[in-house]
Amino acid sequence: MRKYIVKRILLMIPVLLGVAFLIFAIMTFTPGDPASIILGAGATPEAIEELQEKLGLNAPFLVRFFDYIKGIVTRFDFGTSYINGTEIRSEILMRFGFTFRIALLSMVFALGLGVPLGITAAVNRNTWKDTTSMAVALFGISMPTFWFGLMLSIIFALKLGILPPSGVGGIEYYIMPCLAVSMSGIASMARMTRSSMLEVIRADYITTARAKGQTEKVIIWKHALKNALIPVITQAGTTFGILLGGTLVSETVFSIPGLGSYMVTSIKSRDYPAIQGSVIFVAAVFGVVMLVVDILYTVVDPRIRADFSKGGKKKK
Amino acid sequence: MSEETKKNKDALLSVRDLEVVYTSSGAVVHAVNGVSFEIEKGKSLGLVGETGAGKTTIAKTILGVLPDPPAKVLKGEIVFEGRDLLKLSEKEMREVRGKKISMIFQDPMTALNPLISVGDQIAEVVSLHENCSNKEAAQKAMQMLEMVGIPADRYEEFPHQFSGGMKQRVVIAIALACNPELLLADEPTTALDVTIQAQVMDMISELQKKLNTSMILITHDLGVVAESCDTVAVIYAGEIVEYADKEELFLNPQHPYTLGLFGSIPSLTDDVDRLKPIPGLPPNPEDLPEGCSFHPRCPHATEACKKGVVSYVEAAPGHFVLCNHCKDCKKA
Amino acid sequence: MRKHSLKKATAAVLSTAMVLSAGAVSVEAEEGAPDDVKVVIASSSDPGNYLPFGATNSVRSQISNYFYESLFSGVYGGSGEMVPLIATGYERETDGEDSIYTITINENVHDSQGNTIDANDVAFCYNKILEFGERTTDMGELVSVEALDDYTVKMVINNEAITSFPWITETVYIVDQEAYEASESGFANDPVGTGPYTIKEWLPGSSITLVRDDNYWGKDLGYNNQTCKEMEIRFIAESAQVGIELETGTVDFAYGLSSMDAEQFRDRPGFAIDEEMFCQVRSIGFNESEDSLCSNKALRQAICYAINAEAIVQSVYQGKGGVPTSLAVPEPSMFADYVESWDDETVYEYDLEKAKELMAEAGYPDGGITLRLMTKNMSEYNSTCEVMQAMLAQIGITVEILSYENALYQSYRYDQTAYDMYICQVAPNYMPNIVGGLKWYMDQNTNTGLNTFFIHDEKLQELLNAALNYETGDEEALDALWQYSKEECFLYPYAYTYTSYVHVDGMEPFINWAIDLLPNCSTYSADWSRKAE
Repeated sequence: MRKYIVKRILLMIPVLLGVAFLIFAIMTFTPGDPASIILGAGATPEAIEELQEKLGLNAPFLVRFFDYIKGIVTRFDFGTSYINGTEIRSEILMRFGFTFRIALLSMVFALGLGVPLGITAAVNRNTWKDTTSMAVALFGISMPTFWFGLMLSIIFALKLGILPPSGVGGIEYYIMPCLAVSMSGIASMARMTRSSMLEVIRADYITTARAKGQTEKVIIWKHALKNALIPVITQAGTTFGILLGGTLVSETVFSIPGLGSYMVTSIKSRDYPAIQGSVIFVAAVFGVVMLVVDILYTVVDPRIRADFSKGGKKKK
Repeated sequence: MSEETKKNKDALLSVRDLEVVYTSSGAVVHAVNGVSFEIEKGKSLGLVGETGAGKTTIAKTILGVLPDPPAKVLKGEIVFEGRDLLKLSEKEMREVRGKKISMIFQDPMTALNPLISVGDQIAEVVSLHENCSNKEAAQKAMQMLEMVGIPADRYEEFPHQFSGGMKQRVVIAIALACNPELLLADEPTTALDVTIQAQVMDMISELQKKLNTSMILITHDLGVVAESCDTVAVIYAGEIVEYADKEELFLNPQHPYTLGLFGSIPSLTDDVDRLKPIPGLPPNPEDLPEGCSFHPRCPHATEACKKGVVSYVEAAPGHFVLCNHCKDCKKA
Repeated sequence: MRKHSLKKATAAVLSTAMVLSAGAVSVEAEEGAPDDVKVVIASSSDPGNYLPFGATNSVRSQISNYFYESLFSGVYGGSGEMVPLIATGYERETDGEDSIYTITINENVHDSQGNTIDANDVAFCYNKILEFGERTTDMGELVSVEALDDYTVKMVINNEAITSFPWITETVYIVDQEAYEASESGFANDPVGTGPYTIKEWLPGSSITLVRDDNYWGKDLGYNNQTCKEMEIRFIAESAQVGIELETGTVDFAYGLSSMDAEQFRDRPGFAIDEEMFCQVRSIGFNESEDSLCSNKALRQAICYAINAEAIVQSVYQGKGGVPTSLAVPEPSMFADYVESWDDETVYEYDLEKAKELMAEAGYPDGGITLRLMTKNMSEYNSTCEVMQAMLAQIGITVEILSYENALYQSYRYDQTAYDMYICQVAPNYMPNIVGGLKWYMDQNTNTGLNTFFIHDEKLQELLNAALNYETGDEEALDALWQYSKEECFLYPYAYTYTSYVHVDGMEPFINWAIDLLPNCSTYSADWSRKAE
């Protein structure tokens, strides 16, 4: 097991290198240049060229890339922002703190509301409970986060006055952004849980459990759910990754200084180190999330656990 | 048959006039069409028939594990220990299942929960019905494992670590753990290979005799019936077409369908070029033929068979045949 | 109303060494105003850093002005008049092409940490700027700055323009050398200045809170620039949210809402809208290089006549604005060099017939050409481009609209193959001198010898130099420059507009057209509810 984890972590390195290379290339070949933005509208072409030289933008692509990677690997230094002058590393970590909070809370909503919704739908198949649950899910997935976020703000901040419209602070500042972001997560978790449960409920071992005289409740929660959760775990991992990216819209609407808005601002001002650092960071986080999901599988499913231990030998 | 059978007060289980249908998107499938039989304590009854004849449905109806939206019991009684199971509440049925009546399913590969250890799955049925601690339940589970020939130290292992035959033994252990009065075995060896089949059947028979459990053995294999059953009921299109003690049936089969079944068994001794299947196909349960359901395939069918009611004829004491011409068949 | 030239104005300042009586204060402290006012302002973006010596950045300047100060101030004086701040006065003499200024420094200046500021710090700051080199565009004429003694500084400016000295002394922040060198980030995120406020809390990307410095050295200057105890500036990106925050009372003042967003607050109890003229004129600039069809003067003029500026003001700006008569907004009080006679002129008034005639003259009697119109990707400009597209279609010109985000726009601006005309804003850039803004567009003293219109026009340069020059720059020179520009059709100014500032009742905002709102100079009523902790 440990070997597997180590192997996976090592595998992330070429992936991240690839991501770094890709984003570096995209930034280099995208029109628009940071020097003219730093200097502003009044800049002369000479001044711009001078600054480009100073920022090292005129060196050949591979040299710049190599230096960048070297900086990361040896000093864990992601460079300094062209616009801010601050260290990218600390800036990303601080911004990520906000994004992570939103993504995590949204995940809690997604799991806490989505999974039970899916179970209800599956267990009460083709009844009004099923139709309603799936309608809610459809609604959630169809609503654009931007619109929903503004609607929430108008309802809860403006009309009811119980939540602050935007900004950061205590937990009350995060409720609306998380609700807005989690809608699609709730929907996908509900649908996934429902279909997974429906499959599992028809399985033979469920009939065996019934034949033992087991109560429906235990059958659902112990026998069915445990098995149904396996595809749901995958979905949860992917959803979390999507949520990490999807918080951008919420951050804009609710003025939360998270990683998403940081990336957008950086892209607008062509702050190369910031963009590169953010992208690599998000890729790494996603990789870790996927690893955690895979490890969760082994915890939940003994068949997969067997693949990692000495091998599941079948005994006759 | 119900009027003619003497109501055996010693009968453990008595099924009368059972009718079960499946409804899905408007179409009605007549799975069980008026089945009645009895079984005594310690005896085993074989239900023989082709796939889709309704055998599994009968067993699941007895245990009350039919999937309720499509399946529906139209009429009938299932009297067990003086109570009609069809009229019991769900709570009362739960007390019966696993404890008084238990079932072994057809496919061992999918009958066990892949995420729970085999020992715990056995212990589960014990904890449900015996008033004992978890530890005691686990111990009983280990005993059962030994009883079915699996070392008790494999308690913690998971189903995927066992072969098909071993899995089936676990299923048997679960079924017998609470010492039930009646065991419903639904084609327990169909999914296993022949050598294992023999082992498992032997074990079932042995345990059955040891614990004095009654058994309803569902199978399509006449050989298994010959080995393990006391009485046999042949089922076709949801009805019992012939019912007799085992020797009587094998020595003196009457119903054209039964004759066809025996006739289609390949012979080990004779040198035959072609097998002799029963011509035609089993009827569509959504659209059963009028009159005798077998008449489209019966070489002796007459006009009376195509319409009109068929009733049971007692060809010999305790040997019932659902055919108007059985006395004539004998001659033929 | 300022009608005399800047020359006279600077003479006036020179002669008044006493600051207090210069009437620099435009806001009187209201009787009974509370002492612990906190005001919350919604702004749209975070400058990201507070580096004192980098390129000028309007977003950064807005906030920096609370804690950084410069030698002279163009803000506290009202209407851009230069008033003393860290410096007390100056003397000027010339030496050939050079202008030499001897500036006296106020002896009481110290920063918020208590470090005293003297001439050495001043010299340090200016030399740092020269060293970084990010301001060669706007301060290229500065040659050197050195401390003569503890409180005297000598500054040499080469080829001085009218705007040079005010700009150089008003936009450079003076900080203490030791404090600056002690900061790891170079004051990017921990600035220490001499201003009336210090940073209490800064959440990058979210908000910054400033608190009054009770040890502010300049209390006695009389500028009354500490009327509130705390200011919180919140960066709210989504304009709909700004409206919501105003309504729920979490924000007191909002910058630059679009007129549509601001309308909902009109005549609403508890709110007020202040409309101030926006100091920049919206114009079309032409690419006159050989790579563009717009090198043809008749074509340019045809375009100008074909555009109905009034219609644009009505449709895009809902009538909140007007058609300019020159390259300056018609608000003489904003400028030191506004030419009165411009009020009676017109610039290429809408005349479709004339436009068609000029098209024929240009060689396109039936039109049939395509021109690329470039703009920044902002909704008002996108709408404007669409309206222009329709108008120019009437004379047979097909307009291809190129709407770019800021980064791309900046890089294409210098590419003469990238566009034919573009939307721009002509502005004096916080200086009360129209000529300063024109210089940026018209000056040909660049590497390539071309100006932003991609041409080299000797006469234009001559007129520009004359208007800029310290000695010769006056109303006449400026007028001559404008008339020639109008003739040659370098730029076509089509609209001036108003900015709406929405705020809650109980505050009388001090709005300076260059820096926008100064909450620390605004007045608050006695029953102002939000208090600082």
